[in-house]
Amino acid sequence: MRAWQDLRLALLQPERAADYPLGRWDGVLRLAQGSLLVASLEASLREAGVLEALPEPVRAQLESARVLAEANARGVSWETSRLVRALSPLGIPVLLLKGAAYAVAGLPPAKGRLFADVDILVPEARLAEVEQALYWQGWLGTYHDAYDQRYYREWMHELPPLMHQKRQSVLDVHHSILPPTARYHPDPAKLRAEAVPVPGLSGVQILAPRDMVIHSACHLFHEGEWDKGLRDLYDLDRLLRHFGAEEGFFADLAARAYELELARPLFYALRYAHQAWDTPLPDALWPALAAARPGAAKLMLMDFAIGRGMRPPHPLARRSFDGLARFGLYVRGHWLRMPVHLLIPHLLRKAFLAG
Amino acid sequence: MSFSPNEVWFVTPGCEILGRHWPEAAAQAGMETDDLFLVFHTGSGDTHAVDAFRFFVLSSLKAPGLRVAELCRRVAQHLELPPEEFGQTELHALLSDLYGLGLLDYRIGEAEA
Amino acid sequence: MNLGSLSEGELATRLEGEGLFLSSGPFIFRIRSCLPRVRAGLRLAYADYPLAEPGYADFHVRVAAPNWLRRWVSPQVQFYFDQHPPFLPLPRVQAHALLEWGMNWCVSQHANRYLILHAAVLEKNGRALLLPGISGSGKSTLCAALCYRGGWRLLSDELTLIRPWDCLIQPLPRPVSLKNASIGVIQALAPEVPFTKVVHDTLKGTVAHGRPPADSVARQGECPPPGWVVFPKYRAGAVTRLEALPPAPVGLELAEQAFNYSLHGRRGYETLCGLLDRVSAWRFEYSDTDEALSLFERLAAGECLAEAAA
Repeated sequence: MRAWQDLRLALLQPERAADYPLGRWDGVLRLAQGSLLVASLEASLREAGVLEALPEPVRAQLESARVLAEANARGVSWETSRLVRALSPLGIPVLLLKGAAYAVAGLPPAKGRLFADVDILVPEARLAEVEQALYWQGWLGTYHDAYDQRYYREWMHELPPLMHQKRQSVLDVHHSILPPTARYHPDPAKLRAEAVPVPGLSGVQILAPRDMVIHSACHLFHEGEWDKGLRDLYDLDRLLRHFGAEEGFFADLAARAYELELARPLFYALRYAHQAWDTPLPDALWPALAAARPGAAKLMLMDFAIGRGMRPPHPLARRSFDGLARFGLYVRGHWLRMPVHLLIPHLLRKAFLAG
Repeated sequence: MSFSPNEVWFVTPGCEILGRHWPEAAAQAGMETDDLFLVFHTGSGDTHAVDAFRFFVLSSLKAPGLRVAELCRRVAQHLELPPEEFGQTELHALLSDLYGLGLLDYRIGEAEA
Repeated sequence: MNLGSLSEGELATRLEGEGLFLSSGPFIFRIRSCLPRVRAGLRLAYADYPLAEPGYADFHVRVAAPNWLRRWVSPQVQFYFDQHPPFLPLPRVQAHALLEWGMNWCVSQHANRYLILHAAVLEKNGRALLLPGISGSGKSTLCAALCYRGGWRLLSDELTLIRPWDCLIQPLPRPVSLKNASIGVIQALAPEVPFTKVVHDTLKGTVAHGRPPADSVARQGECPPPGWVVFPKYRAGAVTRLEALPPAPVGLELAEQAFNYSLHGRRGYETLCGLLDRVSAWRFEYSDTDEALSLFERLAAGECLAEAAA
């Protein structure tokens, strides 16, 4: 647990990590590696101006992570320019979601991104045209298995992932932020209506700050990738600190979440971002989200599951039952998205194929 | 291959094409007449080897770019040839190859007055 | 203190306990394993490697049986990078070879501050010789001959680490990996060199690892500038032949064979250009090892070989 506290401190108050001896970095870097946080750690230490003070082997590892993160940022920006070229004849803006949006807009979570995958949101009515236009520019479907194709087309809010045949980059084309079978139904038209341009990049949009935070929360609590949970919460923390510094940001965050039917995931995301990363939040936010708060018993269960699931998946940070909690979150991610009669065969199939 | 005279060819704005060559070492390897440039596209991050003529073309097409006819004039001037010596069709085919490599983009510009 | 100065018992205690902390090139590996084959391989191939202070490692690696049941059903071993097994398990007899591949994998996948080329690299007279080559080109055999008989300092037989900030080559001397027929060739050429037990039927065929020259290990901190790039090609019956290559296509080929060229973006391109500024590049065909050694001797001496042929 010591190493986890050390890593947390190095991310949140990097100047206090300047005098860690080499042996202490051993655990910090292993945990950061396992949680995909090395590049974020590098960014945090660099901004605090303490890199030079660190032992040479630590600087070397951090520098390697930075090379990778910068390569991904460049990759995203080039992919974006190719998407603009492909979609501008249709008059459809490239509305970037998640990591790619952070990267092109230079938002704080971009600093540690390790994936060059790109997610875009397009109107459902124009999906076929978009798929065609992308096809002619070299983006082809990757899922040839009939089961997977059907799973995506019928039950998901996105096309099966596309891969560019030359660049091997992966693109997810969403028409909604949650699948039609999910319990909540945020209207994607509302998100698109308030999307904002990215200065200096014509044809590119990102979600408005509030929507970006709400979508990040929604993604976190509806996707089954809890191995990345800690780093996703860290991204959310960075976003909230960044936007929260703007006057009035929190004032109608809750109202917008209710409007999008995503107040419950926002409640969870804020709660656990604060627990994991001390995210500063105004007190007035909690009464505004009171109606989204689950009952006491359910919240206790979630606290138990998340509290464990959000430590790094490494023996240096593990307590008993962590693996169980993480599996619980995976099931939960799917449960929120799919009706049970579809979910159970799907999970069985995945478990069977993985084994 | 036919093409529109209104096509404007350019290097993607915000990107640069860097090029280096090593004429002495290439000459030593018996390549003095076919010296190649190692070029790098800062947008795509891709590296290619192209001949000196193609490198000249790429260097001429910094944004906002040129129409094929204007590019043709510049090429002729560079090579000290009369403009009619150099066919726009051949040049366009070469541009299409460079487009295929991801080194160039084009758009259809306004018709010229 | 070198690994060779540990007793059998001390080595076992470390490997089975807190781990063996070993310096290889600029990296510190922490190696753990209970397998006697791994211990024997380390004793043989790493005798001259310096031990590092326990407590910090760049790479935490472990070779172990994947689980209890499989151990009895079909004896297999797994390589773990910290917690994570990047490869499929292999038969137990390949345990040490698996460790070697795993350690190279650690560097090639993570040491992205370097531009990493897929090439053997050696040094003589203060300049480095890069031998890129696809598998089967005779690169490894040539590299082994040069370091065991030609008096060249081994920097790496597999991974050329270029420092983008000064274009110097960072040595990473590791046990010399030989495959199939080249094992016999090198053992005949350098009979005094200790080799690990030959392992048959691996994914790469028959393999063995030779102990790197003690001097190469002792000088693993000395980074020379690049001097030559030679693409070797072994062809039975070929006349020894050296042919100058133009730099730009060589650059392209090195970029294509690199592990992480694209990650470096513009800086990678500039590093590659810096390399091409400093080297002469050649295609080399050979069948006779002695002739090859004398040709490389002339190359190292700075003779003008533009007119090719030995």
